[in-house]
Amino acid sequence: MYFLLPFHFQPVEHKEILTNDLGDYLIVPRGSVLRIVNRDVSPAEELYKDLLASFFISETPVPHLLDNMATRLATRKSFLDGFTALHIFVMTLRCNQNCIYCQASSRDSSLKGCDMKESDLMTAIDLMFRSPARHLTMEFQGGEPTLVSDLIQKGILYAEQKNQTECRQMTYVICSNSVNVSDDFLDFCKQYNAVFSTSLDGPEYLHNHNRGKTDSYQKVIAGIAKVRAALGADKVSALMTTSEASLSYPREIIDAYRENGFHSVFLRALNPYGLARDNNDWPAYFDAFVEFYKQALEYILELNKQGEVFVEEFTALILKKILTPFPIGFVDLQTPAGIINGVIVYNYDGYVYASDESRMLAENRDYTFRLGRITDKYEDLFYGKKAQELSRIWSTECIAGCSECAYQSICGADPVRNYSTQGDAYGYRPGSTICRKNKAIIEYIFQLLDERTEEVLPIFMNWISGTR
Amino acid sequence: MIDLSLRKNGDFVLNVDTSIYDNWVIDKVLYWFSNDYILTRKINDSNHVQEIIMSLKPGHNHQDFDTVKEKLSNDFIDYKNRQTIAKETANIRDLLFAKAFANSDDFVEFTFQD
Repeated sequence: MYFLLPFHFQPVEHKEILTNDLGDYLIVPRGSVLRIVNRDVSPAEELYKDLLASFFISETPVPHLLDNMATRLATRKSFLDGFTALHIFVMTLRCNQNCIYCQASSRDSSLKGCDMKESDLMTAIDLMFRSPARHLTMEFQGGEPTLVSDLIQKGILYAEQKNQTECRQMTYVICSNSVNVSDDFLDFCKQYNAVFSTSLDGPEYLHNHNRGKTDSYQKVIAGIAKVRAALGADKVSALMTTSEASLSYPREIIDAYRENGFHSVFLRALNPYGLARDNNDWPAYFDAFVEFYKQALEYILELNKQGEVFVEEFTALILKKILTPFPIGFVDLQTPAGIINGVIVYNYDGYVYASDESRMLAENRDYTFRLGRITDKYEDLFYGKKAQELSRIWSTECIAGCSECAYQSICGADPVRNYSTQGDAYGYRPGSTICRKNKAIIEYIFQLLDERTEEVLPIFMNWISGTR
Repeated sequence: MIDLSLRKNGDFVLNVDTSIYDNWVIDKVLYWFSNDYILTRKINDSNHVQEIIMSLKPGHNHQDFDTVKEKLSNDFIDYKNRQTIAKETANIRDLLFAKAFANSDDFVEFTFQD
């Protein structure tokens, strides 16, 4: 006789994936859960030992290792301890590129009234230091934030001054298209160890197509080279966005990253915000994205088998959640959700928003996730009525469709995405494209771990071990 | 048990024995069909049978009878299992979360005897 412990399961073809809140998983033949629940698994079976060792069953009503289980659960949720660690400062909405799929609704570089006021910036930095997080990341976004590089410098200098007494670990990130970064600004970034995050969509024809330009690729590549020369090769990372045109070029995109000296890629689907919102058929896009992802990952695995360490970052994030007891800092895959708990946005318009996507909605005059003014009290912004309302629906453990899902501790809750795509922050999982996409990708990774263990596990462990 | 039949107009008629599958299970199963189908539920307490009419929503792809029947049959068994797990483990889950997130000094450690 044994006792059940809390777990979830998902049938996939002829198997069942069992998971629990502690981060354990087992992949067993279809029908195993019925046997487990009916107490048909005998102690002589390997399955019994696996279930016992992975905390799916217990031989006592209260498991002997309950304290150990509680510690593991607390560790998986330890991203909550520091509260908001990522502070995004949208310095301006102006941009010198104005790409066709822009999710941030960027404006022309000459437009006025789209820059953050200096007084708001300083007040926002004061708010940032109210966060208890030991490690604070100041991420400067736009538009193109380097158009107001003087303001960024003032912000970093103010943060440095405050940090003489605050003693936090500071990281400065400049999210730039790298097209027109001045030497003086790069000197400043080097002095304060700032890193650059830029955008590269793939090979020249694709990148230029996505940007609606003829020379964007050359400018970005030249910009990346310039930043690398000034700050160091490891100080520049790139993000790609998978436009509909990109879906046909998984290998070419990976090769473009390799040719330009990158050792990883983040295969990122389009977000339904800003100019990217005008997509004809989102379900079809996400189904195609999953196929694109599988093809790209297969190619990346081939490269790794040939000895080249090249990482797909989204897969690595999911693997960390499947294979390690530790949380990840990626706000899209957190429960409770990353909004407010992990990220906050101080916008150029003088307001504080729950996330980057929340401020993108505001560009369409939708202020649902506006928490208040930068000049408001910290408590009112971070613990106010809006934050409290959101907290009721920001955990996968508590919302319909997620609460019984086997992937609830791997996936994340996203009220802003729910609202943006379905008009309801609670969300409706049977019609959710993000649910469909994440489920398909997580299931695929589980299948790889189960069916091609010897081939993929050494590669995956290398990706998440921190030794790369 | 459950029983599924097909009407001439294309609607599925699902009869569920509520002495086996209660509303918790029925709600959870039907939730995942509600994107494709308009669901009408009739409860008949006298014979423990709930009748559910599943009408395909306009613009949604028709699914063949056998596929829907197999999926429903599997889903009812799976959600019944989920219900059993949730019920049997509710207390231990509460204890686990309390130990993980409350001040551990507030709890008395268990001692065990073999």
